[in-house]
Amino acid sequence: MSDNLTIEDYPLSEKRPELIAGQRGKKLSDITLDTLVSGEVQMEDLRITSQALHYQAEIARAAGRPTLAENFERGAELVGVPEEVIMQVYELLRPGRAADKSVLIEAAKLLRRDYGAAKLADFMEEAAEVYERRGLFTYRF
Amino acid sequence: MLDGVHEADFDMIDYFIARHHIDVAVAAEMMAMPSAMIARQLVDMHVPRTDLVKIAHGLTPAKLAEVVSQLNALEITFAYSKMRARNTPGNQGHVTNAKDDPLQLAADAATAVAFGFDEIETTMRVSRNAWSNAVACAVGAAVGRSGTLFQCSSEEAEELKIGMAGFSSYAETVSVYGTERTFIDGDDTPWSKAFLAAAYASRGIKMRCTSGAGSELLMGFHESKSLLCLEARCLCLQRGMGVQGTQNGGIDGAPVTATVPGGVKELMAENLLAVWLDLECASGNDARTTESEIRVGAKILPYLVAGSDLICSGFGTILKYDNSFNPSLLNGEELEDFLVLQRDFEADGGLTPVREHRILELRRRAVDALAAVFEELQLGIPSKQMLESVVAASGSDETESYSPRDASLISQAIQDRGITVVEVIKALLRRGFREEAENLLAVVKLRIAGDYLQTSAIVRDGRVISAVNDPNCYAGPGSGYRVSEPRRLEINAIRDELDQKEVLRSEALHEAAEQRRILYHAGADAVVSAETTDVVIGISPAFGVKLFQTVGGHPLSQVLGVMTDAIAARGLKPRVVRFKHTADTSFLGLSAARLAGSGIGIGLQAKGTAVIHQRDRLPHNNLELFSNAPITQVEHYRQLGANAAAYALGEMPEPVVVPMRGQAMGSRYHARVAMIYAIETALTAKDARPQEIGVKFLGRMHLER
Repeated sequence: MSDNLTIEDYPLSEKRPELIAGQRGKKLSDITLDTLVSGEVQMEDLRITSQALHYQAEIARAAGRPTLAENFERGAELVGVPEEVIMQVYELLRPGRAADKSVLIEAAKLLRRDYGAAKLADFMEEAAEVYERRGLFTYRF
Repeated sequence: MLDGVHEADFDMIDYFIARHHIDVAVAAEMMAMPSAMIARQLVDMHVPRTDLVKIAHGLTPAKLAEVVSQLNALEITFAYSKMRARNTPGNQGHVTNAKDDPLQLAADAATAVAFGFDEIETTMRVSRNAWSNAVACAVGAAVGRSGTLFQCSSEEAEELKIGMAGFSSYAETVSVYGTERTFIDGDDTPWSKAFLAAAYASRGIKMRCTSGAGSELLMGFHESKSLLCLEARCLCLQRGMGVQGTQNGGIDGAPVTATVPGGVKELMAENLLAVWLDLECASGNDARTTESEIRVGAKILPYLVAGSDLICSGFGTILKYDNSFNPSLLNGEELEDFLVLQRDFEADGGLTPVREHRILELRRRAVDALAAVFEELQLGIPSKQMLESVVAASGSDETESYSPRDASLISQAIQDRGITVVEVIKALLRRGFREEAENLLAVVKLRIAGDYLQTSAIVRDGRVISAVNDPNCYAGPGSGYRVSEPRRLEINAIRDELDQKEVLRSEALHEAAEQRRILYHAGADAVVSAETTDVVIGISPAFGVKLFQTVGGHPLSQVLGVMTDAIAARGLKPRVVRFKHTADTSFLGLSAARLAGSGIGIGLQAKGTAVIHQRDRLPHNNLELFSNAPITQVEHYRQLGANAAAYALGEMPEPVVVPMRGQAMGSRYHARVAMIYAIETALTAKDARPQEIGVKFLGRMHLER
C-alpha cells in the first residue's frame, strides 16, 4: 500500500467495499442469505481479515488515534492464531501463571515464528521484563 | 518520572502508561501548562476538542485529575458535552431475567431494540446459561430492526468464544484497575488485558474496558490515591492498551462512591476524563446508587442534557427484579419517566417512545422466532402457553416458561454441538423469518470490514456511525448535536397524550348517563328578579352541553341537584341561568347575583369550580370560592348551596373550606383543565343574553320552572 487510507474512506463497507473480503475472499456483496443457505458462505467467511484490520489501523491513525491503530495491528497478527493458542497465551500473561520470565519469552518466540506476530512478541517480551522486575512470577496460592 | 515516581520505581501501571500512553513528543509542553488554564479551555467553546485531546495525551494521570477537579458540576457537564467523541448520543440497556428464560430474553430484547437502545447487554443468574442467553438475545435483537449490538457478559474466555460463534458483537467486561495490587487481585495485568483487546479485534468484535471509582476501594488497595486520580490511571492505561472506549463513571463501585461527599460529581468527572482522552464513553448510570427517586432523576439529568456515546452503560430495560446485574439507576419502572424527561428538555437520550400494540407485535414475533430456532435446531419445543405467557408478561413473575435448569440444558446443547450464528440464521430462514435472518446476518457482517471497531461506533439505520464519520465538533450554540425536527417529533410522541379530542371522547362517555338523570330546558332570556327569595345558579356555556362531570368526577346533575336542594331547604327559590357571554367563574357568579332578587348568586363551571357572589361586590372579591375542583366533594357543593341560602337570608355562615393536602393540583389537572376551559370559551359569544334554564331531575320529583 503506497497511499494510506484516510477518514474519507470510512466506513470501508460503504466507501471502499472493493477492499473488503472475508477470510476466503468473499466480497460483502457475495455474502447473502442465499449464499449462506446454499452453503457457499460459511462461518469462516464471516470473519475479519488481517488486511481489514490494517486498513482500520490506517484510518485510526488518520483520525489521530495511534494507540488504537496499534491494537488493530496486534489484532491483525492474531487473526490466524487459533483460539486455543490465544487462550493459552492469554493465560500465561495473567499474574502468577508463568513460573519465570523464560516461559513468556518462549511463548513470544513461538508467536513470532509460527504466526509472524512480531509486534505481539515484542509486547510479550516487554511484559516479561516488567513482570520480573515487579515480582509477578510469584506463584499465587 | 511520572507523578513523583522515578522510572526505576515504576510499578507495572506507571510503566505501561509511560510506555504506551503518554505522547512524549508533547508531554513537556503540556505538563508546563497551568492546570487552571487547561480547565478553562475545557469549558471554552472557542478551543476545539481536537486541541484539548492533544493536551490530554501529554498529561500524567495526576495532572489530568488535578485539571478536572477544578471544575464544578455544571462545568463538568458542559465540558463533557463538548468533549464526547461521537456527535449523536446513544444508549445501552440490560436484557436479563430472574429465570434466565430464553423466551423472555428474546421478547425483552426485541422490546429494547424497539425503544432504540444501540447496545443491549445480557448476563445470567446461572453462569452456565450463557449460550442460551446469547442465542435468545441475538434472535430477539434481530426482530424489528437491524444493527443493535449485543453483548453477553460472562467469564472472559467464554465471552470471547460466544463472540467467535457470532452471537455477540461487542464486549465490555474487560476490567482495569488503578493500582497494581488491585489489578493482580483482578487476576490480570495491563499486558494480559491488552492481549485480550487484540484478541477481540482479531475476531472483529467491538470492545471497551470497564473501570470506575470505588473498585479499588472495594477491593482494598487504593494506595491512598484519590478516586479521580486512580480512575485517571485506569483511563490512561486503557488508551495505552489501544482500546477504543470505556465503561466508567463508577460501575459496580458507583453506590459506594455516591456515599462519599461530592461522590456523584466525581463520577461525572471520571466520564469527562474518558472523553477528554478521546475514548468512547458508556457513562455509567448503571448500578442504582440510591433508592431516592429525586437522586435518581438528578443523577441522570446532566447526562441527558449533555448527551453521551451511551448515556447508561446498562439502563435496565426490564423490571428491577429481573435485572441480573442488580437494579440499574433506571429500569423498566422508570422507562416512561425517562422518555418524558427527553420530551421535557428536548434532549436526546437515545430512546424513542413506542406504542403498546407495536411492542406486543414485536414480542410475539420474537418468541415465535426463537421457538422456531429451538425447534429447527432440536433445542426444545416450547408450548403455545409458554409463548403466550411471555408475550403479555411485564416480568418473569408472570411467565410460565423455561426455568433456569431448562436454560442450562439448552445452553449445554448449543455449546456441545458447536452451534454458530450461521445455523441460527438458516433456521430462521427455513421457518420463514426472513427479515430476522437478514437482520442477524447484517450484524454479523459488520465484523468483516470492522468499521464498528473504531471509536464510539454504533449502527443507525443500517449505517455505522462513529467518532470518525460523526465527530463531535461542538463550537457553541447552533453547533454540535441538535435535536432535528423529525427527531423532536419522535421524542414528543410519548404515550397517554391528552388532547381536546381525548377530553371530548371521555366526556361523551358520560353524556348518555347524564341524559338519563337530568333534562335542561332552555327558556326565555333571564331578567332581574324582584323576588327576594330568589338565588340564581349561573352555569357555564358548556355545562351539560359538552361537558358532563366535574374534574373531581362528580356528575353535573348531582352537583346541581344538591345545590338546588340545599337552597330550597331554606325556603328559598333556586333559579338556574346559563350564561354564554363568559365562562369565567367570578363573572358567572357576579352575573348570577345581579339577576337574583336576593342579590346572591352562585357561579358554577362545568369543571366544578364554584363561587358564591353578591351583586354589589367587585368581580374577583367573592363571598366564597371552591377553586380546587378535583378535590371538591358533593357534600361541599351541598354546603355551598346552603351557605348561599344563608347569605340570602342575611346570615353569616361558616365558610366552606375544602381541605387540601398538598396535592400538585396544577401538574395533575392543569393540562386537562386548560382543554376543558377551551371547550367552554369556544361556546361563548360576546353579546349572548343569559337564558333561564328549566332543570328536570329524572327519576325523582323536583321543581321545574
